[in-house]
Amino acid sequence: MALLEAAGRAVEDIWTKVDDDAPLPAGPALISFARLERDKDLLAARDAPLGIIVSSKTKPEDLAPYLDRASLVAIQFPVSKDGRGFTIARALRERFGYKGEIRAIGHVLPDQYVHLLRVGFSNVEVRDGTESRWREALSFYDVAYQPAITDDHPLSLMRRRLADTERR
Amino acid sequence: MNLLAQTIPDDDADLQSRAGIYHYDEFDRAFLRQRVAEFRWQVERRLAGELTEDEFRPLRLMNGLYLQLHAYMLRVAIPYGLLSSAQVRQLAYVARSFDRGFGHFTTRQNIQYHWAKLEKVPDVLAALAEVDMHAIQTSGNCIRNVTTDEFAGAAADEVVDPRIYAEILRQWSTRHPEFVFLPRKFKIAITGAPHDRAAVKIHDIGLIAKRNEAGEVGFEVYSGGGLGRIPILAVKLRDWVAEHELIAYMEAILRVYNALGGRENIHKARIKILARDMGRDHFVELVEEEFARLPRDKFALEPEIVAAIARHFAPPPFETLPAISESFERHCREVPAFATWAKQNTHPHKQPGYTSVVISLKPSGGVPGDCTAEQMEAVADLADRYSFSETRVTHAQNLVLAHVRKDDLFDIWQVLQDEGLATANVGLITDIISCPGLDYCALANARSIPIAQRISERFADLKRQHDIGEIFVNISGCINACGHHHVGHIGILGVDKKGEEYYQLTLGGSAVKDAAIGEIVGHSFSYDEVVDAVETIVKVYIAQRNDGERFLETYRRVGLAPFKEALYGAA
Amino acid sequence: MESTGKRRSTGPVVFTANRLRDGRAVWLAAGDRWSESIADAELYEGEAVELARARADAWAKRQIVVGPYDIAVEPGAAAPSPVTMRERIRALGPSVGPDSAQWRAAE
Repeated sequence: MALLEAAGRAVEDIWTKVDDDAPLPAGPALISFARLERDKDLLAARDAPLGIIVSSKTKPEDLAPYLDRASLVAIQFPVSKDGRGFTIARALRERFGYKGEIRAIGHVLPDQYVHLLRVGFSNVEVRDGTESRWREALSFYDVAYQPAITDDHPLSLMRRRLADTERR
Repeated sequence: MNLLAQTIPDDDADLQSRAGIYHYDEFDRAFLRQRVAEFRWQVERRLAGELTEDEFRPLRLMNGLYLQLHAYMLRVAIPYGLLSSAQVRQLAYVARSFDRGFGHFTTRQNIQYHWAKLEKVPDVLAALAEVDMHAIQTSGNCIRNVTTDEFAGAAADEVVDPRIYAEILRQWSTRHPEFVFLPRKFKIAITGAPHDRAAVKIHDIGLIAKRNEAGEVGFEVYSGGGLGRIPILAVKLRDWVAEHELIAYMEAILRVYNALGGRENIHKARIKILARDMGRDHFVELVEEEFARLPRDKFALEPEIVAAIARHFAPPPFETLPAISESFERHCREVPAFATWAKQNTHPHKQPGYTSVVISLKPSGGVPGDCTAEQMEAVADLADRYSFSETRVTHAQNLVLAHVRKDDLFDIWQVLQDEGLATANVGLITDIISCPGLDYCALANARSIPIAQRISERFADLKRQHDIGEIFVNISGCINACGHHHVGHIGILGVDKKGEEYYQLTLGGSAVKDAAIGEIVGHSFSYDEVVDAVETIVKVYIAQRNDGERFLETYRRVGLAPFKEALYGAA
Repeated sequence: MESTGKRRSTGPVVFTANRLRDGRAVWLAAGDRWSESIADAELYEGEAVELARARADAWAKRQIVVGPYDIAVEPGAAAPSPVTMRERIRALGPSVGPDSAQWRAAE
């Protein structure tokens, strides 16, 4: 798998996905939300970066108590047409002010790349060999009718040019 | 600064662009071109096998492309039913060059072409983009065409012009990054008159635009309505959402729906199911919580933007005319057939001396809502000549010339007659609403069009039709209810009974202010029996009615029993 | 054309699908090709059905057709006759409107 940030830039994945009963590595560990809830006291003592994998059914308010110690939230898309991940990401940013990394994992299509960036995802995990398609997906639009999550300007003017990070 | 202002249309535009449509600027046109390029890329990837059909389906649906029985079907967007003549002509061109010479107007004010080819659709979209048209979000699990009153901007009883807000909502919902992968389709309707011609209560969101005592614009907001397998009328969320809060409130509803709407079962995925299952009070509570916490400044609908968009819908340059047209009155006396047509197929206009004309697409024995390329071109010419180059599409699958001088009615009628567009049956029993049904649609259980044709032929006698009076017959070929049968005075639903086509009848449905879902009369009727059954129902109404009572009023007074008895015999 | 009743669970079937590029209804014909005319459709029974299904699915994987499936037919003199109204309409075209010539000819 490859990891793409804004503007189609490939970055190294420093995170290790860890099964619910496997020992945690020394470095950044990406664990399930269920494990986090189960082991929250143990994990409170941990120094290294912690990431949480959440499903598309996850309620942002259930995640809220843990956000201050999670430097990554990975939202799993079971199938590309399950759009709940977009609302989860947007809620983490807008409602809870989450400043950490938000990653899209699972079944996502290049066609969703711009939408993911505009609702607050930091990066997307993509299948090896598809990077060029993902970058191509950024090349089509330079305008939008809605604000991005990071957009400070009010909605009212209802049209804006996409930022360079959302375009190739 | 990356913001781009709404441009204001040039007041010196020539007649062609006088139409009260939203006039695209370079921003809007760039967006359309980019959309076409994206879809072309998506089609290439599908044809090359890079996208599976399951991955491609939501993407093509978001460009209005269905796969049906015989071919692909392309549903082109007609935002809130409004068209310029240039656009009507381009629809005719598409019918001729890419399809089989005709199009079908739908109950959501769009147009469908039944014989589309996937590999050609990017070219069709490019041709449509030349006249600022598209097929964006006319299908799929996203926010669909925002529909409204076909007499918007013309009707005498209008309080607020709903087109302004329909356009604002169209822009807000177009490729909205959070809401293009909803649990299911999402339909919004808005009315600006106390008589709801937009059927807001059967929509996922229904808005009634109104004014407070200070004259400010606000909205009654309804949500959770819809037809289909489980027809439910919308519940009221708010009596008043102020104009500047409209977008924020819409965001709140959509966020609740996107997060919580069912995704396991396609039949339980609409917002109507969510609202019903959690109860109205809890549903309202969640929406209000989301509304309260979202950053209002960011989502404020500024008066400047409303004003900029409102200018696109400014009234056309009406002449000052007397309320009575001498020539119209004279023609009515001299030509009874014209008088009959004018009485039935026109609608009162707020400007003295003007009226709105309904062009009936329901000729006797015809396919409801179908229109040939030649007819479209004739309509475009009439619009240019007599209605400021503007045409509208109604929910009843007819067309409207909204701003016509009464002086011109006779000339218009004669042209319509030549084109087979002057059947004087608007609102009568042969003004049938019908989905395409099993003749075209892969979802259907039974054919709907031949039923419509046979009813139309059975009741062809215009005198008889006028005697029967206002009666809405709606036909759906399956439970998806695209023919809106639940809200027909007589609703006809095609069902599959052991591989045969059968039809279930409902009575007493209504889409307007006192909306209601029709009641099922009893066991279904066969393809051969159903038209007789409809005639039986009509006969019962005639026998039971008091003076001046329309069908719906009689039904509400006498109930189902006399109809059941006539259809099935005494219990 | 007489309206036939319920679907049979046994009896010959043909395979049908929509062509990907243009959406046209097509039927699997002899020689492992797709035809726009049901008259060319090959009938399958018994074990041959699953073999034909595998071939039809292979065509879908090659992006030629979408969603192939089998339908029950009565063998006919001119052409196999589908048992359901839906498939008769697919075979003959719409029963109404400007494209109904084939349907009316068969009635």
